[in-house]
Amino acid sequence: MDDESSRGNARLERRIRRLEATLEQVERIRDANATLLSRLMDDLEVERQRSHELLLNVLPERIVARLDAGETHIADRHDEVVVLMTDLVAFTSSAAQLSAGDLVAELNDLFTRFDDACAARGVEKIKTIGDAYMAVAGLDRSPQGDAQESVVAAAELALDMLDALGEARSRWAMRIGIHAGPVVAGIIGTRKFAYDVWGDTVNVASRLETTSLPGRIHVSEPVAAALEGRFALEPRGAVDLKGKGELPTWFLNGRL
Amino acid sequence: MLKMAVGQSDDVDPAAAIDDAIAQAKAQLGDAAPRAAILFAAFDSFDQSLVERVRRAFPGIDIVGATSAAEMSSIAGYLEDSVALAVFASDNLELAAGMGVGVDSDPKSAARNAVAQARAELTQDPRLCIVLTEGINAQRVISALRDELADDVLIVGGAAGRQELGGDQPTYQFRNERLSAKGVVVLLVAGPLSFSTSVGTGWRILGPRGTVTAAGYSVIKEIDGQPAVAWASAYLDMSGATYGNPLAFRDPGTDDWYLRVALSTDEQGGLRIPGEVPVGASVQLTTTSPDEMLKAAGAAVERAREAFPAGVAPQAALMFSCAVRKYMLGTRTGLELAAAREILPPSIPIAGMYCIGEIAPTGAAAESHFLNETFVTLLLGS
Repeated sequence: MDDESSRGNARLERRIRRLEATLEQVERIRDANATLLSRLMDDLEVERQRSHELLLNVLPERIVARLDAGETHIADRHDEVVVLMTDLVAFTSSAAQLSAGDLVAELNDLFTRFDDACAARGVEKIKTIGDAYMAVAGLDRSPQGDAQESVVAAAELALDMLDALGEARSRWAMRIGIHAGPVVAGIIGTRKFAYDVWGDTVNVASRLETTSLPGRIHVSEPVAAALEGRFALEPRGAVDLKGKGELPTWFLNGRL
Repeated sequence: MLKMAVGQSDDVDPAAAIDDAIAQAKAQLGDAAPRAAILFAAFDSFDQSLVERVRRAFPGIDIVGATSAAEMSSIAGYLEDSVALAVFASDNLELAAGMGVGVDSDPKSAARNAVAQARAELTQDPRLCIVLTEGINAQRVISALRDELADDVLIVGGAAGRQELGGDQPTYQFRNERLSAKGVVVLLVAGPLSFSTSVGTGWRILGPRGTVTAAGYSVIKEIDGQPAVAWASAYLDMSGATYGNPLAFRDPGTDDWYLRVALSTDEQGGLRIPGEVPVGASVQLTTTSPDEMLKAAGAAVERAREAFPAGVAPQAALMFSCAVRKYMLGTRTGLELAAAREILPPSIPIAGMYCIGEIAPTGAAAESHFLNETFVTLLLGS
């Protein structure tokens, strides 16, 4: 073998040794990456579950399912739902006398009881705005479902809420308004987004609440009609609801 | 005008390899008088006679260099077990070299001596310091060099390498007839020099973020109040070095992340690292892919090209890449250099080495740092 061939062979042998060393390192690095990936995937699954549970605290389960399925714009019309609005009487003036911690603790206690009542009656809590609480019955009902049962659920919830107010020995009295009709429900925003409902039905329920009396449940004609025979209703006469004119309304006094 | 002539050979006979490289460089130099040279020599092929052959070929030349894990040049591309020689000539720049030893015991004196020797040969203030040093103490050396040089002097280079990543084999730094395993060599450049530099890693920071709560030189003792190895072991196999998943650190009050390989663990549950990380630094995990690494190398060259001063064309490029990148990229390692060559004009000579630690400024910071698993490019012109 001549000198050039010999050097060529030696160079080749050296190259093979280097490649074998490289392969060994590449395999170690690959294994380390696989370990890291596996452990990060475990973390990811825990985080995914946590964020899913967090989402369920904010949005109805059926809406979360639709978001998970890839829907980005959710807006649905519901023809027959029941909107319930509550407000604490003289909250702002009495709140000024409480420390921030005490105020939030009392409100949290009360609204937690309301949340439990919503869950028990199958009514969807929509949101709280300060001392106001809004819930809607019938959003998850199929088109063939019984609309009257949604009204009954809302009425039961309103009575439960007044009971909860008493059990909490709340310093506040509460007004409640309930109206039934069509709404549009959906998600607004991409950050800090919220599930909400809109429409004239919401406005009327709000007017019924503001024209209600402390400790009373103020309902509209379609609500009263659906509850007749099962709940104690007291005609209030015609009430001027802002933007709607004078309409006949009732107080819901209890179950029969 | 700056002229860098390069030569490179991986002949199995080291003497024949350096003679090849010398012949290639001489052919490019023409009549230009060489002033200084940098030699990157594969650890397994290196012996002092290589330097002597260069000095005989270029009488009066000041030559500095280091052993390397692999070499690259515009002449032969990326090679292992080779020698790569860069010879500098210029009619308007001053180049001078220096060497200090004992970086493990007194890095300040080593840096001071190296700079003093080089400065003694210059009539103007230096603008660039190309540095090659030992890896474990490199961060201290850089800090000492910063103390010795004006703030506007760019410090770029790498830590000497060897073929094997782990182990206790020494690496070597040399200037002319002097050789050390604990040395620092510098090549200072003064005069109307134009330059730009940039770095790229390709590593992606991910996973939980911790805070270094106890540390010393070359060791991270605790992260989030627990032994550092316990924190890292939640995600990384700590039975060996974390070459493929270096830890990313960000010093308090800064925005720039840098990488450190966890080389091993100590009996107290600390992570041995090259260099130092301050208490209070943020720490996260990293991962990468060959594609991301190659993109980062190309992007670094592109940034350096864009940052090069207007009105002057780059006339030479030096590159310092990490020995771990060589193992991460495997048979694709040569694509780092190929990516650079696609971006730079084909006439620009390139020389470089694969190190066990790189030295360059990062991000917005003007001052240089000791880096791991990073690709550094330095463009020069006059």
